[in-house]
Amino acid sequence: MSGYRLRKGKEVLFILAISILTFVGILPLFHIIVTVFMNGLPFILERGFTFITGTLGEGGIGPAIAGTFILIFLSSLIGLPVALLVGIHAYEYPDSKIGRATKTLLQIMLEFPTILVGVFAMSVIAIPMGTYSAFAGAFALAIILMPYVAVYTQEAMRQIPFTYREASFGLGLSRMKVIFKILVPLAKRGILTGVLIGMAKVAGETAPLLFTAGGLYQSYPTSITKPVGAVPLLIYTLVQSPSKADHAMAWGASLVLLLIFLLIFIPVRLSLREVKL
Amino acid sequence: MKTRYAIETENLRIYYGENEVIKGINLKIPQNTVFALMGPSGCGKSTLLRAFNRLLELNKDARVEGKVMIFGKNIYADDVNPIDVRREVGMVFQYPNPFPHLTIYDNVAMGLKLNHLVRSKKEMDKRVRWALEKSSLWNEVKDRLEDYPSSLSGGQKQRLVIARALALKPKILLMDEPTANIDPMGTKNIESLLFELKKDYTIVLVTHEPAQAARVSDYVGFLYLGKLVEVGPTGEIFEKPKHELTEKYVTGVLV
Repeated sequence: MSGYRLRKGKEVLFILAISILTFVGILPLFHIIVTVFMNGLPFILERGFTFITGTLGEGGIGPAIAGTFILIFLSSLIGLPVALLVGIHAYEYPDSKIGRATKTLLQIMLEFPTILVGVFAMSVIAIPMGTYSAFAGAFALAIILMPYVAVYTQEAMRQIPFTYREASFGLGLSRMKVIFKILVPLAKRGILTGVLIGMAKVAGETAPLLFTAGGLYQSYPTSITKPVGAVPLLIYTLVQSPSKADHAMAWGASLVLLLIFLLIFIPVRLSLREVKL
Repeated sequence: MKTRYAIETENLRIYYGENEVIKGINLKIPQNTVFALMGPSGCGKSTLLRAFNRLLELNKDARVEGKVMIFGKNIYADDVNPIDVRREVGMVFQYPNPFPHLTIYDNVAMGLKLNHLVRSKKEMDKRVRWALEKSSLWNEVKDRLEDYPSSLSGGQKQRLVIARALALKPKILLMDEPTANIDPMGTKNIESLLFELKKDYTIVLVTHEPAQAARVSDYVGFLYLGKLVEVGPTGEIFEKPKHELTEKYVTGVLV
């Protein structure tokens, strides 16, 4: 009987310990969210709708928000097709030389310092073009987005049980059709998760935009060959300013960035139909 | 009348890398019969079956030597496209594997749609219904064709997979232990379906259950360690097997 109680006691202690550690682990996340809300929300409420739509001169961050969405859109446009094909290739030919090299390179790219990506985009696009531009910024972000989406795509495809692959080929379909008409749709949920994570990641990037996007806050962007702003870039600029008012505005912009991040992340994840294998 | 053979093999050998798993098999499978390929786990049944529609090639280590003739034509000849072979020789798998992201209707229609074999929606509806009737699933699913297969029982899923294969109008149906993961009622349904299907198709059934081979097949081949030990009409094999190994296997001594 006492052996049982000892065992039970140990179990309770263990569960308690991991619960506390888990709590400590996720505490920073909640702290960030709560702080951003507490500091940002009053500021946004005070400024009202102007904060979301107005230019910096009018006391708003509208151009930065527009810039962020333009950059997400453009970088997805450039990065996603490449990423999907790279991911599918790595899945389909895992043992080929290119396939193996691709997998290694993707791992490196995932962890690559993003500021270097910015320097690279600057040297190949911004300098030749002679100006910062939305295109240069989007190009840098596309390079950052690509490995996330490719790795998630490959992983999602790899998790499809072999029997579905056999079944698809068993229907007398070509490899192209098997992959693009059956297996990719089958892995849709995992691939979309990767796409969203990639987009959420680039939505918050600052470093690669420093020498590429330039920044534009006094008016709305008009062309992809001209400089563009972004919310994280604006936060970076505002925080560096000595003025208290700018710091307050940075909190407001932080809350907007957080909401954009959650906007990308939550609804699509929820609405995706669960595919049971 | 000379029997026409649906499948004939000539000195068929299959290797995984250096490892020979099918060791020179000569086999003739007559048309419109149920041919059961039985043997203990790991004897090469599934491998041999996958050589009959070149699905084996999905495994990059696998290598085939010898000939497999489908209605007299060697499917390993250079000018043969495996895609055409697979349309003619349909396959049903051990684990009921309807595509989970497609509706019941689309599971049956997909092969036809992607192969551009059907032109109109009306024709497609007809063919889907025909295939589901053939696999005796129509009455159970006709009111929920737009549901997903996750709502079906294991036996129903397996009959859906049979319909998916039949929709392409193959001549031969390969079945790799189709009832291994199905409850007894579902097994009974599929076994009785085989009697219907052999009127129009030649069926090669892989099973590790001698009793199932005895129940449903016309001919039996006993495969042991990559070799075909004995082959013949089901009655003879079970009543007076010529080979000691076969006798041990059908009486349950050898497993």
